[in-house]
Amino acid sequence: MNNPTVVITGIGAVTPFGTDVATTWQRLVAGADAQAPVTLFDVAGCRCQRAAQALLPELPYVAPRRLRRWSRATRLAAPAFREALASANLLDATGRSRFSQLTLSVSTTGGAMALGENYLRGLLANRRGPGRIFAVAHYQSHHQILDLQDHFGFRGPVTIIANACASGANAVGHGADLIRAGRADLVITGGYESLSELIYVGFDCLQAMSTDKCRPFDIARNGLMLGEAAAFLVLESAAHARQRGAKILGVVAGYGHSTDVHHLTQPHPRGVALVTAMRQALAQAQLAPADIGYLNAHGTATPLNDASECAAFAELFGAEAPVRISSTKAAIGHTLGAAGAVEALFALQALRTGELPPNLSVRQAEPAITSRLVNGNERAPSLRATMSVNLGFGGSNAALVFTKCVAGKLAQLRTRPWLSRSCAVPPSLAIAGVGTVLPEGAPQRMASLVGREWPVRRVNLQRYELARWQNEPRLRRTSGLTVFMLEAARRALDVAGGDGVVNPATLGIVAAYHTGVLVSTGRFFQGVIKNGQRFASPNVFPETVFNSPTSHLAAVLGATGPSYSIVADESAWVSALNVATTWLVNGLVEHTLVVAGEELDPMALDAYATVRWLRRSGGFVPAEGAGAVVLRRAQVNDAVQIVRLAEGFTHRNKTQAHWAAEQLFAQFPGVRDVCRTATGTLWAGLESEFHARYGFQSPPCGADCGAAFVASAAWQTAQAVATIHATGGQLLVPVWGHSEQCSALLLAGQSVK
Amino acid sequence: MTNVSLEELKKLLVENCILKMDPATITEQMPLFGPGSIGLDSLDALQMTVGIEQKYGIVIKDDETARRVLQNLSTLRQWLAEQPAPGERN
Repeated sequence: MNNPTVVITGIGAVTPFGTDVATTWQRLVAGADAQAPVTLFDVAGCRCQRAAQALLPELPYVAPRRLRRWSRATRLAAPAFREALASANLLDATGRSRFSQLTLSVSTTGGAMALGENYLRGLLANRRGPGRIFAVAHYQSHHQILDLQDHFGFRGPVTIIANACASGANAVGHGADLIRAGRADLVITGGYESLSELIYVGFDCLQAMSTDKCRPFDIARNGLMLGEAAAFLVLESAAHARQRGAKILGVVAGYGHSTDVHHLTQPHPRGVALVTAMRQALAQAQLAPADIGYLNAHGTATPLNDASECAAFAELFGAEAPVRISSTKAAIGHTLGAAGAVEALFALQALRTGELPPNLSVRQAEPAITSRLVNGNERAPSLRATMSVNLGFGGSNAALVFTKCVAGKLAQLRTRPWLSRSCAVPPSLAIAGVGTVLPEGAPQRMASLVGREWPVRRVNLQRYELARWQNEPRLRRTSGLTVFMLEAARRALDVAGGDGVVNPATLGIVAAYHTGVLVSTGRFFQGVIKNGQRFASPNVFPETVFNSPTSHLAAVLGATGPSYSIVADESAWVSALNVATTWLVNGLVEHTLVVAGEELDPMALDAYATVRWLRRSGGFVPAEGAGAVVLRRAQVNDAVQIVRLAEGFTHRNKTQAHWAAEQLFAQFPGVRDVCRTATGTLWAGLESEFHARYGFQSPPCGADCGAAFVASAAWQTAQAVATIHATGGQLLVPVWGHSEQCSALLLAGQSVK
Repeated sequence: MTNVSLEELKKLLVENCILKMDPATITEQMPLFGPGSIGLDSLDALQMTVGIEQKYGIVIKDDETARRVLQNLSTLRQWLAEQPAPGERN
């Protein structure tokens, strides 16, 4: 297969060093260090008191009314996004996107977490300020993306990857994957992270932050420094870039990713998964380790991370390869969900300028890496290729390889029509297995944090199939969410296995969430509020990370291949199916487990009540549970296939949702068999209107299980698969995302009767 | 400080380390870490230092002390008994 070459045509960044790439790079290579006292929130109860805070840029081009509604996360992301679009010549004279459709692959770990923290503090203090509804409605990651879409005037499919500290590299790599798979011509990739108290206190209680100086690869290193930043890279197929005359800054030549199942927070001592990721990236780039001239390491300066990386570098590069290595986290801090994107940008800048960012604050380096660490004022003008690597909580490992653009190679590429696609058409994929964990019985009453009772639909964790997972040592600290997801996954894998077993070595995992790890997050932050920062729980904090259930799944299933955690509203389900499609098209895996889960928590009930969902007459009953499907490439006798996925019809109010639904259904002309939402929905009225107007046939949708966001979309898909098993034919499954996107998948198949 | 009962320490251990086991099955000499132990890891070690400081106001100041004190509930109990109560210090 002649995969398109993926080139970079635009870059932008906001970091603690400055509000653009040039300023950041200048200070970085000069050896500056952005460590300063934390002023964003009170850290009096923490062991560590310092971080690398970003200076928010002035934004004269944003209307004051709009700016007041932007979270700190959006205020970091927007100027970086603007710089990236401008440098790629994608902005028009008014500062808006030249194209109405843009595909995004982005990352963050916290979103606008500070809004959620303020909401919870207010709730526990019985404050009822006017900002409560705004906080609940805007803290989640996809709202920052909607801010960007509104401001820059575009819509399109969005994939938000929350793979902890490797997320940024995954976002860039996934953008490149989409282009290589022929599923997009242009993707804006990147990550953003704003400092928040919850995350700061979490790292502090793990004693993972240095109380004096962050010293990556020093033998006496004693912890990391947190930072905040945003960085974006515009990726295009080379043909697309050439056709529109874009300046090419470099090539994303290789991407590798794998999962370390050693421990939730500790990397394997020999860095096995990192070696796998680096080898994959080199293989895709068709390069040898000796071709890499500079490597931007993850280099957090925690004892275990750096030791693991040193072992991995020794394994890959041996004694002979000339690679120069530095971590830039002593300079701008560990920017978590942004780190992979920021550091990818640094690896690209090293390639473009021949300047190497120094490894700061080392007094005595680890012997295994001493000779390779970049010193101050070091230059390497003849670099051919650079690499950036990242590791994250939960075992996500990612590596990116960048090369210079070779003009001769580009001239050979085929050209394509100038098109930014918003609706993906994958090759046929089979749903090889389906599994669900549903609430049981009648609605129960559940008390919110402030003591108000609401009807909810709960899963019975005492049932044998679920209770037995709780004896897994790895799951000791987890909440019900992981158990729901694991059991749904087991059921789907059992069906997919048929007579054999799905091989975990060739299995990818894509997990999708809306609210995600609510119980652990609520427990952790309520503990901080109640007991003080000093007594924050190190046992609970790692479980607050979005991808912790995904990582537990991978560990229990023994799946060491790729795994992503995708976050959004219900539309995350279709985004996750899209990721799975890309992996299968690119031949990365043989099977992909796509699993969605949600859980209930008293804190969430107060949030739903705040935004008045629980008062609606449409019957919104919050629920919990999970659903899973196993995908593989379709074979002739497969009963149910996904023939089309559509996403990118974004909205943030009912008027826009109406328009988005119109656009969505226009993608499926002639389709009349449309599955109704299987559970309670916030858009029930809109759904009924469209069904009546278009004369959609509505197959039975199964029992009402309540509303469990992304899990509901999985249940809806499971029901549609069962319907096709019974009747054959085509069935459209619309996913009515309540606060971001309308998406859909079209299924087709034969009856198995 | 005054002696802490074994039952109280078992409760502290089970609650802080989110152990899904019956406290009655935990003995005073049972190792907390390593082969044949209850199965705690480094996160639990941090959690126990937080839990002990929160409950008794006594700080386990460094990793070496933590390793020595958190071998089993007997070593923890003995160490706690040797520490001056928070109000008696200085």
